[in-house]
Amino acid sequence: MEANDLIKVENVSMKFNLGNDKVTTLKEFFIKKIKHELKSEEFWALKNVSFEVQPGEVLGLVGTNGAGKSTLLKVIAGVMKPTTGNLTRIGTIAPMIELGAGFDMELTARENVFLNGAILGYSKNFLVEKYNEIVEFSDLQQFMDVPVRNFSSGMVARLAFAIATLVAPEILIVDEILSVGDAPFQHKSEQKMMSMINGGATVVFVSHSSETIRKICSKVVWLDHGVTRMYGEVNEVLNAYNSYCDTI
Amino acid sequence: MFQHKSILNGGMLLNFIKSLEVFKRYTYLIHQLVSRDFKVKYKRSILGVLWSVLNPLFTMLILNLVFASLFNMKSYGKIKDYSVYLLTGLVLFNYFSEATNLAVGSIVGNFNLITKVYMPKYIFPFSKVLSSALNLLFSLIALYLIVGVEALRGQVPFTWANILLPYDLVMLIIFAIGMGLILSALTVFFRDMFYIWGVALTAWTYFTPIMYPIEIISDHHSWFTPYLLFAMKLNPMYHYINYARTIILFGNVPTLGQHVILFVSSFVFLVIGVLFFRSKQDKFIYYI
Repeated sequence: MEANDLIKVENVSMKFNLGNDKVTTLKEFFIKKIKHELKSEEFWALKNVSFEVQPGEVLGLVGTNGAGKSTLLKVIAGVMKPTTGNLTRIGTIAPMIELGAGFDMELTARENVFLNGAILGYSKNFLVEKYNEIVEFSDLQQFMDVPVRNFSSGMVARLAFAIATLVAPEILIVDEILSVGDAPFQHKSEQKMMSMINGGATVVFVSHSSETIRKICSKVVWLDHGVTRMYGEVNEVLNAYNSYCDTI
Repeated sequence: MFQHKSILNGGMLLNFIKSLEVFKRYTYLIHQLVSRDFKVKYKRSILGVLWSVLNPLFTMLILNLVFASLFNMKSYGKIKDYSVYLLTGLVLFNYFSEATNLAVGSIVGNFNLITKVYMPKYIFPFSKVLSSALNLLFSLIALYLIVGVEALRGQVPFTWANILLPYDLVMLIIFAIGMGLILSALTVFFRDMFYIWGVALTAWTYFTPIMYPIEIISDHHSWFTPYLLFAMKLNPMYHYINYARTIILFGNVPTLGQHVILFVSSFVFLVIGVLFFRSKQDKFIYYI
């Protein structure tokens, strides 16, 4: 392992038990135990995935729905621990997966800025300092004291994006996020992302758009049913992936 | 955020220091979650936070009416002042009951966050126990209102021993944190815990001398009386409440033994809770 790898994914596998046979009540547990039916169906969302990302590198992740892209992002973000295998990650990280997950709809936008910021691990002083920046970027000046339940989904997304992109992290994890809000905000958010990427962040990036991936990525991993189908140069992998997509 | 290395190497001490660092980083989140709970709880109610004071008062009034008049508890043995006796037990047990009831569902109820953002998972039961502690402080206002009235009437003494109450409360909160950790983790694997815990709490309420004096049992001569008394003394809630009554009802300083019992029971449950939670937390995401 080189000392300067920022993310190193080694033989990571992730096993889930599929819903239908999961026992979550005592009664079910005892009945199934007696009937010897406690075997649950296993599902490997990821199987022996390995790759490394060097500082400043932008790695693209492609694959059809259910290929394990989001699971992999969550493993890298530390939300999930791999069933087997190792993940090494050095540096500050900003996971931009499912923005606004921590919003409380009953609270006002202002209160949510601080709640959501705290969930992302920011300190109070930092949030107070950056508060105006968030309001300005999300363009929600008039609405900061309105409960978020009265917001449109676009407004919620704008606020969440503004909070999530506050810091310049060393590692940025992005899940299909550039399509947030209306056209002007999309443009604004894309610019913000690009400035973060160009600012030297190491990025893991999931997208279904070959165009975007060609524009910003230096390497691509193609996941297929949890297995690394291909890992290498952008054009090489994308061409193979696109021709595979055409066949199905 | 700001996680430097996801694989920790090194000894227990290093791990412990790391945990403390993580805890320190997330104190603001705990603060936010507690204040969120508090804001949401009383949103759109007219009397708002006043309910935290009124609730125990009304419960005490009703129970007082039922037990003091109907069952004639007042004349029973050692109880000097039934209202204060009742309210002391009620306030402490209500805290325990509310804290653990909220903690039971705290992990399951926050699955949408746990599967999306990295954060220490114990924060959820922990913040619920603390939210309830905030409520406990308001209930204490109700308690001391009654204590004040009764002290003026000369029914209970009001002594310097009262400054020892925070020790009791802190130990009770630590006990509740331990229980909260165990319960919240269990619920992930068995959703029945929601209902089991509801029933268990009801049983526990009656098993703790809140509405009746413990003499009701010791005066009842039967072959199982000693066993029942022994079982009662194993109940940590009995000791937390007994400590508070020693201070409030009798104006005495609790014995060294009472202090030790509180300390031991709190930390035993805290350690069990932490170890159990830590051993299970990585499996939570498989049981969504």
